[in-house]
Amino acid sequence: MRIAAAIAFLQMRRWGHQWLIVTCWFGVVIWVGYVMNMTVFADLRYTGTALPVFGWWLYDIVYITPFLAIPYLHTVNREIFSD
Amino acid sequence: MTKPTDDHLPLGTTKQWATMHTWLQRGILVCLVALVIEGSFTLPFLAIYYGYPTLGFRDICSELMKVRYNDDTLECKYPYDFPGPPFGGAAEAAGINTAKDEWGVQPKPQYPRIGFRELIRIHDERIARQQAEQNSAPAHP
Repeated sequence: MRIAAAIAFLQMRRWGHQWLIVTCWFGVVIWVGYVMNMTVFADLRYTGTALPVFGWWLYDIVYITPFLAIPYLHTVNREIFSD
Repeated sequence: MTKPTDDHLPLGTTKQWATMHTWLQRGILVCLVALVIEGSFTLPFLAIYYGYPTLGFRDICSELMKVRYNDDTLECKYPYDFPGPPFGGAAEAAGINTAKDEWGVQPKPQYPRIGFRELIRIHDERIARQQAEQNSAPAHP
């Protein structure tokens, strides 16, 4: 779905822009769920690891792209997309 | 990225959001590049951490089996059954009750945590122990 949306977005179609926003929200949902999953019982999950929670955040933080892409896509000039 | 000016804005950017767009583009670019690098280095890093190339992938797999089920006789199957679990047949841990893990709503794994390339030492020590046992066996019939 996201691949199709991205292709349509590059072709500057309206539905590609809309579906890119929708699939970005999927990413937000997954990110929040993953953070919860890894934070609850973190004491058990990270026993014996070198940089327990900090190291995991370092690994996970780059998955925040949807949080940046959603405001970006919402503020793009929609007039230039074809319906 | 050029600084957006009033008369020359990137396609799709309005004057109102020009600065925010610049910073979001930078952030997105950093994240996407980092994700590609992270994704391409995760598996090689894990393989080296566990002992590759001193141990082969099959050795690493078998060593991990021995550690997590606390049983030196376990080995990874190769070639793997098709259709094997999880696509058919009993699960990997079926019938194995040597693991020390505590089960419950939140299971607590009790296997030792594996340090950097520690599997090599565990593997070598076990091989040495087994050879010592074999060598000493005929002396005590």
